This record gives sequence, structure tokens and C-alpha cells, in this order.
Amino acid sequence: MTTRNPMRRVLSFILWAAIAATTAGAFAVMALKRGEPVNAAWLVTAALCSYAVGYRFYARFIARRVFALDDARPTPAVRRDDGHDYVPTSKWVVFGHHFAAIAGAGPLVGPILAAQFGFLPGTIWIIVGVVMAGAVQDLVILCASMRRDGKSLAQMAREEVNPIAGGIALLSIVGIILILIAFLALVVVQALAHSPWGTVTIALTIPIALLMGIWMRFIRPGRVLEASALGVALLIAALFIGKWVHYHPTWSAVFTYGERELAWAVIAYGFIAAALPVWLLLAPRDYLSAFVKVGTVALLAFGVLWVRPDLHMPAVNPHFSAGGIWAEGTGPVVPGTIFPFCFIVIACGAISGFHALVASGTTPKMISRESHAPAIGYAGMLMESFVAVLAMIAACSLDPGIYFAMNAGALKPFAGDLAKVSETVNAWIGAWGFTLTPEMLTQTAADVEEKTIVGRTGGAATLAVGMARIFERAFTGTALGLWYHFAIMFEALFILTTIDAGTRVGRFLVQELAGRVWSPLGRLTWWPAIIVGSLLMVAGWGYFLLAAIADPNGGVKALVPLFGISNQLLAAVALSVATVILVKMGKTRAAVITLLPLSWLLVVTETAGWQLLFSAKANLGLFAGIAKARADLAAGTIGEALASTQIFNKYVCAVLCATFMVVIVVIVAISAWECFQVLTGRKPIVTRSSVPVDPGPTEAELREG
Amino acid sequence: MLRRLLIVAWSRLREWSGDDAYERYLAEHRGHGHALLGRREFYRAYFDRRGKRPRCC
Repeated sequence: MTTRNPMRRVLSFILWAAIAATTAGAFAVMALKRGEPVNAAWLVTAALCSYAVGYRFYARFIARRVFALDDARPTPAVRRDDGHDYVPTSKWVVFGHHFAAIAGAGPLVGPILAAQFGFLPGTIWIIVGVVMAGAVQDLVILCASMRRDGKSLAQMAREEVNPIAGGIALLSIVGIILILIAFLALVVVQALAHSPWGTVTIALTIPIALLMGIWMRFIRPGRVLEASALGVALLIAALFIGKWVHYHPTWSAVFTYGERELAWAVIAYGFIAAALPVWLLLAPRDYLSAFVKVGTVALLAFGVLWVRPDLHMPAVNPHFSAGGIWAEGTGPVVPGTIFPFCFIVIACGAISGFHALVASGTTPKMISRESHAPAIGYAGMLMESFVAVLAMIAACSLDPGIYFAMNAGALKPFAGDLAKVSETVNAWIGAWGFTLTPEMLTQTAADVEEKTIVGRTGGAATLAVGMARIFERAFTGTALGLWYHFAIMFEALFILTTIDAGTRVGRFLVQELAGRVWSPLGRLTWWPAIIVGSLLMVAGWGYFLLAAIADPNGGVKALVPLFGISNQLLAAVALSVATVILVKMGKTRAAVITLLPLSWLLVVTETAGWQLLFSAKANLGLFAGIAKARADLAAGTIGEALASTQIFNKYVCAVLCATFMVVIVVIVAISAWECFQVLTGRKPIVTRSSVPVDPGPTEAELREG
Repeated sequence: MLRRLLIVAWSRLREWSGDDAYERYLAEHRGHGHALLGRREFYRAYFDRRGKRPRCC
């Protein structure tokens, strides 16, 4: 309840006014400061103050006024407590579960790629996007599912909207899992290619996880923390073994692989991991990755706050402004112009449809009091966004020359010609007062104990260099190479966790769908069905991974936009379902909270999708790319095999992109029709809410409040 | 104060990780008259449930 004490009210008003003013001031410094570099502290300040305001006012508005959360109303965990799926759990433990499930490599990688636009557009979207869109989606879906016995997003779409919407939700979930895994696998492959140190360390995480699994199941059943401590210690040892291999003349050659071999290795790993019992590989790896993730992110936050690096990237990259060399979306890292592609590339740090899968079905079954929802749904996403801000800082505090040399896919074939790389990059960054020399490239590669850093696209390696530089300054006198490879290990570790968990979740969905055709295929314990289901999932994402690898420039450019669009497609499904639910609750005006982000997503994804299909620029437009491949073949500049692969892959991407675009429009239209029918009284309100349809204040009260 | 905080943090960590899940299970089900799972069987099922949770990007 709001404080009645007038003195406290005044103090609280002054405090929040000061926080709001600080937010505005920090944004102003970021946007307007010219001539000298902006310090990272301003980004951190803008982020933290915005989060505080968003949490205190917006999340509270949604919790109290819209959903009228009330601890007197028992949650599903309390009503249906069965000790298995439904378990009332304390607030911070649920927060831990929720955050561990939503946080992964996405918010780390997206901002690195979006840094090519300058730090400002991405940072604004990460901060404003999370407060107005991402955290809202997570909280609203969490509350809606909590009021419906913890039903999943697909179930809610089927029951609250209609069966077609349910089917669309299910199919888009499978679609996004395929693209998500392919993209993350590509990030790992690019980070480990030609790097024996990284490859050995990551390979060793598999036996470490197996050992932990056997420990927790047979040697000392259930001693999870003990096994995790052992696992983390072995992980550190693996890092040093990797270093030893790196400098060993024979072993180093044995563990040096190209992209193709690594891609096949990841595919084989994904298949085996999805079919193995959970306790053996997935559960222990999940513990390892959660502990390492929390530890490293805390370390990075500490490092950034301690070092407070200056950002060397311009606020807005002038090459993308009108008349600039990349004004038509021909930037070297990811294709497209700032609008819409900056908002596509950031993905998970600002809004992630995938979170709706965690916020429905899983987390709500553990919440013990309704009032815990904002601290879990909203604040959990704020934390994810903060991770994205840290990643943006790590990328933009690097020398821009190093950043572009690492991330420009077109430079990959010139990794051996550092003079040419420097010359190309200097044409981009020279005007900003930076110069890249071949010595800087060899020195950085030597510093991080890597053979080359040129063309290490995908974001993971750039983040690792940025993090290593920050750690180097925070903990003076420590080895940069060790920090770099630690950062690579940390990213690859939880990407592999996402790959096996994602393949497994996808396998369940595929089996559910296949089970409708022939029921034995739906049995989760029948091993032929397990093999077939896993194989289908792995073949799906494996295809996109291999297609990306076949691209001589590394394929990040092709896969990133599809990944962003698919993630936002799922967010659009979630927000549409949420809007229908709000309307059925009688909160028509409050539906603005979901309609606002939904409209934005609709504009961004449809524009991006359209440009991806029809842009006349061959680096962006798929059809233009197909025409260019045909022309190149006719001119004899590329071979028959490469041309036909490129053309086929681009057609597949085009079909997928068009499907995503149509599906978004269809789901929005279905939801709008449902709302229209309910609002005009043509249809009785049918909702599966476990509480009365309108539990909270009336429309009139809402208006006054 | 700090001691108390550490104790709470440790117990939350055990709860989150499932380190104390079997003890909780015993405390809840003891005395209900039905047969209880052994530690090993309990954790087999526990990890299976845990592994069904989606993991995001």
C-alpha cells in the first residue's frame, strides 16, 4: 500500500524525481557528448536508473492495477502442490530458476553485432525495449499462466484465442528453436575454428559433465553442490590443459579444426546429447553453465564498474547516416540499416519471445505468492538486459579497428594479408581518429594467445577480447590469454547447454506432433521414437548451420536476421495472446501495455522481413542475392557447385522469412478478430482463468488511478 | 548479521540446486504411511524433471 505518512510521500517523490532526472541526464550525455569519448559509467547509470523507474512504476502498475495480484489468492503451486511439477518455492529460488532458464548467449552476442551501428541505437533499444516491451511480455505471460494453472503459451493460445492460434504457436516454437540453435551453434563454431586451445577446453567439458552426472547419480547421489564444485575446479584445469595443447607442436595440430569439421562435431554432439538420459549429460552441464554464467557475469559487472572504460565506438556510426558509405545497409558486420535491423539483431537483450516459454508452463508452477511475479518476471528480464548492456560496453570499449577486423565477415579470406585488412578497416575508421596497423592485429592475437583474430565473426570472440581487456585492467598483471579463453569457454559452455536442452525440448514437441499421426511416436520413452525425433530436430538446425558455414564469409550475416525475426515472431505470438487475455479480463484500456510493444514488433519485423526478401542490395535482399549468384556463375567468377548451393540456401531462407512474416500477420489478425468479437458482445467471454474474469479495479477506477 | 545472511544464502543455494531436495522430500512425505523412494531413485526422477525445462538463448 502507498504510504500514508505525508513526510515519507514527499521524500519518496524527491527520490524518484532525482532518479528520473539522473536517467534523463545519463541519456543526454550519451547522445550529445561530442569530441571526447563517452564513459561506460553513463551507460550503466542510464540502465540502472531506467530499470529502477520501470520496476517501481510500470511493473507495479501491471501487478496492482492490471492483474490485481493478491496474496490471498492461492497460486497453482499452492493449490496443486504435488512435489513434482507444482512446488511452492521461495521467491529468490524461483528467481534463480527463472533467470537461469532465460539467460544465455543471446544477450551477450546480439549487442556485439549491433555495435557496428554505434553504441547509442543498441543501448537505447536494450534499455527502453526491456522496460516497455521485453520485461512486460515476460511479466504479463507469467501472470496469465499463473492464473491458469501454469499452462503453456501454446495451450493458452489454443484456449484463449482459438485452435488455429494454438497450432501457429506450436509451429513457431519449433521454427524458432531450429533457427536459434543453428545461430548459436554457428557462434560456437566461429569461436573455436582454428583454435586448439578453445576446442580442447570445450571438448573436455563433456567428460567433466559426464563425471559430474555419474557422481550425482551413483557415487554420491544428489550431492549437487559438491559435484558442481568439482566440475568448476576441473573446468579451470581444462583451461590450462587447453593452453598446454595450444603450445604443443603435435597436439596443437591434432586439435586444430576448420568450420566444417566443427559444425559436424556440434551436430553429432547435439544428437547424442538429446538422446542420452538427462542425468548423465544435460543436468550436470546445466549446473556447470549456470554457476559459471552467474560468476562470470558478476565478475564482468564488477570489472566494468571498477575500470569504467571509455567507449571508442561513435555514438551513432556516421557511415549509416544519409550519404554515408553504408547508408543503404551494406555494413560489414550484419546487413541492413539501423532501422529496422538494430532492433532485430539485439534480440534477447531487449525482448525475447523464447522467454514466454519459460514464463508460461515452467516458472508459474513454482511461485508461492502472486505478489512475487514482478520480482521474477519483470526483474529477471531487467537483469538479462543489464547483461546486454555489459556486452555492449565490452564491444565498444575495444579499439574500433580491432572490432571491425574481427567482425567483418568479408575480411575472413584475407586473414593472411594483414596489410590489406588494415587498409580496408582504416578506410572505415580513419575519420574517427583511429588507425589500425598490422602490428596491432598480430599483437592482439599474440596477447590473447590465438593464431589470428581477423574474421572471427559471430560475436563470441569479440566479447572475449573485450572482457579480457577489462579483466586485465581490473586485476592488473594477469594473463590476457587466460581471460580470453576463459570467456570463450564460458560462452561455449552455455551455448552447448542451450543446444542440447533446445534439441531435447524440440524433440518433445516433434514427438507430440508426430504422436497425433501415429501414437507410438509420441511416447517419450520408446527409443525408436527418441531417435527419430532427435534426428529430425538435429537435421533441421544442422541444415541451417551447414548452409551458413558454406558461405565463404562465415554465414553470420545470413543467419542473424532470421534468428532475430523468428525470436520476435514468438514475442508477437505471446503479446497477441496476452492482449486477448487482457481484453477478456475486461481490461481493454490496459491492453495498451501489450499493444504498444506488439505494434512496434510488427513494424520492425515486417519491415526487416520485406527488406530481407526484396532489397536490391545483394548483401541483404535474398532475391537480389540469388540474381547475383546467377550472374556470378554466368561470368565464371564462382563455380557451379557453390552457386547452386548459395541459390538453394537463399531460397530456403526466403521461404522461411516469408512464412514468418505471414504467420505474424495471421496471429495478430486472429487475435484482433477475437478481441473485436468479445468487445462487441458477439461472442460470450470464454476464458480459462482460475479466478473470476475481472478480479481487480474497474475501468473507471483504472482511469482515476 | 553477515553470518545470518550467509546462512540464508547457503540454504537458498541448496534449495535452488536441489542439493537438499531429498531431505525436503523426506520431511514432507515421512509418516504418510506409503513407501518412500530411496535417495538414488529420487534423484533419478529429480534430474529428469529438471531436464525438461527449456533453456533460452
